[in-house]
Amino acid sequence: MADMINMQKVSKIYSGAIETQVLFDIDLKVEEGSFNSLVGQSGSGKSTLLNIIGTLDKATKGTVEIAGQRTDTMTKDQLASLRNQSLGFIFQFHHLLPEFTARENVLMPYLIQHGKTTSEIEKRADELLGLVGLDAVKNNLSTEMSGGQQQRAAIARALINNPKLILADEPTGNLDTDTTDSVYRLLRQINEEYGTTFLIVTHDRKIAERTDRIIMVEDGRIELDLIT
Amino acid sequence: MVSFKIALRFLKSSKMQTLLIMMGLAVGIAVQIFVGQLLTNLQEGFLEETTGNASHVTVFPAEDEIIIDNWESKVAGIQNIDGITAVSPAVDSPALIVKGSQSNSILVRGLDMTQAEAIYELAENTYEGDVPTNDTQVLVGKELATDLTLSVGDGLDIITPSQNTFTLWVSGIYDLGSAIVNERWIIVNIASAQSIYSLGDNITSIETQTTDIFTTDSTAEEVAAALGNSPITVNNWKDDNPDFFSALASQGASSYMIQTFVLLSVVIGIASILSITVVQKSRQIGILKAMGIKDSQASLIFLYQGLLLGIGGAIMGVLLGAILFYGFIQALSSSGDSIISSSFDINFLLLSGLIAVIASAMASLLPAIKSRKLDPIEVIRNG
Ligand SMILES: Nc1ncnc2c1ncn2[C@@H]1O[C@H](COP(=O)(O)OP(=O)(O)OP(=O)(O)O)[C@@H](O)[C@H]1O
Ligand SMILES: [Mg+2]
Repeated sequence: MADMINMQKVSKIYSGAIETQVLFDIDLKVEEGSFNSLVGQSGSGKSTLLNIIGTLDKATKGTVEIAGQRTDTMTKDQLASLRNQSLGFIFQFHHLLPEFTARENVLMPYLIQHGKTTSEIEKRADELLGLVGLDAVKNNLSTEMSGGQQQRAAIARALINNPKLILADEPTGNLDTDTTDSVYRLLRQINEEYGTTFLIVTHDRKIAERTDRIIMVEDGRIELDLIT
Repeated sequence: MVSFKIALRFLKSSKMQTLLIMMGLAVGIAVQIFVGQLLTNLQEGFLEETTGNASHVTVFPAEDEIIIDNWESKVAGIQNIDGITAVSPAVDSPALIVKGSQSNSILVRGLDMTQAEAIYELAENTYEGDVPTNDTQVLVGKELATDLTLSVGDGLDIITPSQNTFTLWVSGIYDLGSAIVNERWIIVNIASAQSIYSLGDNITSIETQTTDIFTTDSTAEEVAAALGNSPITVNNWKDDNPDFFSALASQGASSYMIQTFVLLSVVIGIASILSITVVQKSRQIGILKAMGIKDSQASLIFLYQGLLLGIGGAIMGVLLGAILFYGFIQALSSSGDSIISSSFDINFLLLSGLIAVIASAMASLLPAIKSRKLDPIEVIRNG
């Protein structure tokens, strides 16, 4: 199988008042269609790593390839297109647009690419909203939904453009155990149905154990790489 | 397209702020329209008042001549020049009126009553009696009539510079709107003036009116050219009244300045509010960028907001300005005779509206540029 992610010798140094190196020469390959978790202590560099993979942040040194394309040399517009068409994000903080309804938020990545929506894509949005169990509240503004509902809307939004890779940063960080469970079953189901690659940051050991591979980060280095 | 939809939604979701910005713009535009329209109409009214009953371009005998001969052909020659709307021959000469111990120095003006009508509107401006219908009748001005206690039907003795005395009969009293004219001019038939001063069929000046007082200098040149080799000089209102024109021009300049500064302050206001909205919406812009919106599309969101605010504000402002101006003129005319008309210059209104739209789009340029620099990672990292 081809590599969805291929990072070589990636370092990240924040140069503020004091220089802090957060990532040290990270080599990481992630296979297409795999379901992976990224674990480690708070402040170990998980989010930084995920954001570099997601092209939101830039590595200080090293090379990053997503689906065979070098991203560290792309222009800002090329990166925007890549994020829009090939990547789906589920953030630690759900990040919906408060001016729009759940359904409109889900359709937004499509709208960015095409400028307008079709009845087909609207049908797909409704299906995805059904899949994450938001039929009843899909026309609510995102501010009129609970935290868990917002998180599930963000998941549906990450899926709308059929991305090859979904990056999730503690997607269930503030959900109860039952909801957490249903969200994971949902992500797993999407992985199996569409062959979407997943990289999920989590603090939850039980969740990590249910993924195909556990990557553990400690102080900016990969300490453990476990195929379960 | 996505930028327009987002812009519209941003504006809709903070209705109060949107309305306030539009109202700020509208008030600015309204003031600008009010000031501009008021001054334009004031100047037009003022100009009409001052030059409406005056000769714009006047043909006089050359310096060492005292008469214009062969004048019918000269009148015909001037008549067809572009911009000339009326041509009228005149015989002018000074005289004295002696009544008891009082003597007034006046100007006898011999006019062709039909042709002079187009310049002086004597029929309308004669408020007592009528214009002269025969060679012994005279029309006197309001102030002179009061000064000499003259009324229609009275006799009036004039003494010419050559010490001849003539008796004329008052046929009517006029008011040309200027006390100086009313005191000094007594108006008779052209034939009457010709015989009083023994001028035969000659005259002393040809008076005209033109379509545009601001170009009387060039019209005068055309008149001089048309009369080519005759011994005449041509004067024009514009060159004869330089102070009047510089006053008009500086009034106009100050009006433009007021309008410009009003618009400028409105634009600065909008620019600063829109800059704040970039900060307000930085979370949203960060999320959108993370989802792959391009920097140019993000900038467009703010440009569209500026444009929409501009259009809304311009429509409200033009309406408000028109209502304000119309109301002001109505109040003014109900409290007395006003020389300002309530007529609107539609082009001026449209131009003001257009300037408002362009200005507020320009005001959104700064926030549009600011939004480019917004890095999504800041938003994603900090929640
Ligand atoms: N802008 C920054 N400037 C300097 N240091 C930073 C900056 N952003 C993050 N860091 C540091 O980088 C390190 C890694 O941060 P990161 O957010 O990747 O951790 P994390 O593993 O995601 O932690 P958590 O589990 O709490 O989310 C932390 O020590 C943090 O203080
Ligand atoms: Mg983190």
